[in-house]
Amino acid sequence: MRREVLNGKLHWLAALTAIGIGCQEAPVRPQLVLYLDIDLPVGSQASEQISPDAIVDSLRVEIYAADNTLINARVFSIASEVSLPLAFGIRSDAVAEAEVRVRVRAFRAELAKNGSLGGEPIFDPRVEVSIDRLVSLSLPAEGVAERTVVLRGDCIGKPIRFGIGGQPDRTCIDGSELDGLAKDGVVEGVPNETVSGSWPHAAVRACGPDAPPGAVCIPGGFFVLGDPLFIARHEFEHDALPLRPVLLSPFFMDVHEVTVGELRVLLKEGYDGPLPAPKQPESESDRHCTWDPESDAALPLNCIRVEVAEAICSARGGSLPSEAQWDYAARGRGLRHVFVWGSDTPACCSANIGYFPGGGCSPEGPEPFGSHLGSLGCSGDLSRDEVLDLNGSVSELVADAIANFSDDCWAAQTESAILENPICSGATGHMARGAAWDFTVGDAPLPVRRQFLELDTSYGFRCVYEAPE
Amino acid sequence: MVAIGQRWGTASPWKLFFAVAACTLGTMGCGDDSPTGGSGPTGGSPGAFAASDCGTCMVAACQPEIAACQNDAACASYVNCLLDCPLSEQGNADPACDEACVTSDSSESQQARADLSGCRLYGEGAACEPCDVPTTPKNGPVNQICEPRPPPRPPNPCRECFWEHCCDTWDACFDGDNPDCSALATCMSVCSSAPDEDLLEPCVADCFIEHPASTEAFTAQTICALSECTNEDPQCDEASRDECDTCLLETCADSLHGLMSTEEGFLVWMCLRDCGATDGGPGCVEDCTIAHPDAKDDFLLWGECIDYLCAAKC
Repeated sequence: MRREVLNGKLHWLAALTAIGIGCQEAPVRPQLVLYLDIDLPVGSQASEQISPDAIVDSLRVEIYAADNTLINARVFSIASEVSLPLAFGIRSDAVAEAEVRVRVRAFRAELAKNGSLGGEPIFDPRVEVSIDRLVSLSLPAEGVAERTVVLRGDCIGKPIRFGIGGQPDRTCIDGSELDGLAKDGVVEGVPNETVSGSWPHAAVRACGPDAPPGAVCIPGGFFVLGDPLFIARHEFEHDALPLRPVLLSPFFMDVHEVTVGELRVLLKEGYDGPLPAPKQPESESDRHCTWDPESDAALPLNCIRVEVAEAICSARGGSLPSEAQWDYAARGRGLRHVFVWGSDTPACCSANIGYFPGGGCSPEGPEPFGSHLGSLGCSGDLSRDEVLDLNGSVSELVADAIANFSDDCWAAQTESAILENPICSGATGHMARGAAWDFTVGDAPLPVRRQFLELDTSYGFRCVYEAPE
Repeated sequence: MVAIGQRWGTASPWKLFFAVAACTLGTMGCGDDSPTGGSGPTGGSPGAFAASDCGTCMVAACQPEIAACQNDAACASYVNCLLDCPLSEQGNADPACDEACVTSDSSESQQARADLSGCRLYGEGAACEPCDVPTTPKNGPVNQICEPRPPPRPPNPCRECFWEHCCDTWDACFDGDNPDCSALATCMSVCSSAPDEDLLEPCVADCFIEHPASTEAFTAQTICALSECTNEDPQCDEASRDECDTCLLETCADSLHGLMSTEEGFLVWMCLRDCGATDGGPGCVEDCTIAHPDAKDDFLLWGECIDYLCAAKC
């Protein structure tokens, strides 16, 4: 097996001549051969059972001398598990010191920043969604030493810390040692096979049975909340940065926004909670409110207050979705869709959205749910899990308070940087996600984070429900 | 007569390339070919900053930035070097030592160091009393306390603002007791109507030469008008100023005042404005400082503030 592993890595070894080649055919020089593996999945392992956002495709490797001087740096593409473990040699006689530190970062290039190093372009991984590992290694005076280091998904978002003021270097080793020492977690010898794809949280988690009527399962899993491309354009929006690694349990979500007809049914069943503001046909601002005896039962409720939505969801046995749940469901559970159908610019047939450059769709208010299912040549407002109208219709109230992702309420509550079923609680209003019937095409991208406006015709809601696993 | 400073205050055309220009001129965070971890602390008391009240306060106040710095090898070395620096007279890390503590040329190192410097000099760390960092803005001719005055007749929104926020500097130049300052303002106004932009700067320089006693009073009023009264707009309308303008002219007001308060600095300001108007790029900006070397340091201080505080808004 060892010979097979080495043979499989010769292309990496050849690429690292600058730091010393560990090649079988070459005369044996004192060197350390480092095998790097990772338990996150790579592209070739993509499947319906793997959360797409858990997949990594790049490794950035840097080698440092004791004084923090950078000796060498490379970014390797890892599209297939065949490339793993990645192995390379560090020749003892090519480095002036007996010890080096190797920094390895696993990330997805799509989420990285464009940076530079030595005047050359290079991907700068975002700390918050990368695995960052620092390894302190002793180089052998003679012969070949072999060491293995495994990067663990549990370390996502845990930055290494180079020591200052005489402190030791710190690094995440694994889920049980999230703040370890750089010398720890190094295994002698050669790995038998890659552990790629074995991170338990990379797997999609299915719902149990018994979905509530009108709701569908949104399988749980890992995903990256936020988007580097969407920055707030005005005071009522918030940046979709910094990115947040999130783990969600499966849940059920209403197929469509809560409708006029559903509230009528609730009232017949004895609901006595608060109601939406009624339609005011003579009012310029409220004539598009949908709560009216004459309204189509399939119209989404709008002109609501937060307590109305919370009471109605509670009466239905559910709750408002968290922003993370909404984002996850709308963007394809880690597929990072900009619109529910992908990345194509919306057309009037795509969703119930208002104004477009060069001619508006000019909808006369919210439309009955499912009015934009798509047609030949036109993608509709239908998500990966067949949830309707997440992109258009009404912008949807979520359970989270108004906040930036950098605010304390979005910080990890445990030592792990991965947020589990997060909800940002606070007293300052609520967020809303998704566009509305009178929004412009520029407002339509799903990552846009906006503030919820009470009693507004552009804002409605849907509910989610706990799902057994 | 045009409102004082009106012709000199068109910030918008050149603001977009300012950060690039500042980098070209060598402000912090713009690259260095030196090896990682320089020997910044030379002379003085090694380690003085780490043990000082300022250093202790800064480390606590800028903990997130220091932690981010520790995520980068070169920036971690920079922190070690900075903490070893001797103290300046003000009690902060000696600036020359700080400057000599080099980082690497990687984008990550540069960003991490710039964020830390931003915290130290303009953020939470600047509030550390022992560090004696000048608070910004609200120094110099800004922050005047003005008694209410009847509105000007005929109505004049700029004049109204001057009387509300720039009363002292206005009076010093225009209350009738200082005809030389009024004459300087008139001279400037004549320059501003010059048909050729190339003639503007020498014309203004001649005005200063003709009225040397009023330079300080005139520039003080101009600075206040620009920062407090949106004087780049003929109606002094705040709505005409976007968040980048606000940052350049108000948030970084102290360092802007430092630049504009001297004749040479005023000419650099005008030169920069022309660079923007003609899309002259970083080379043009550099030429401005070459033409007025005495104002280069003040210009770089303003550029540093913009780098740290305004980059995201511009």
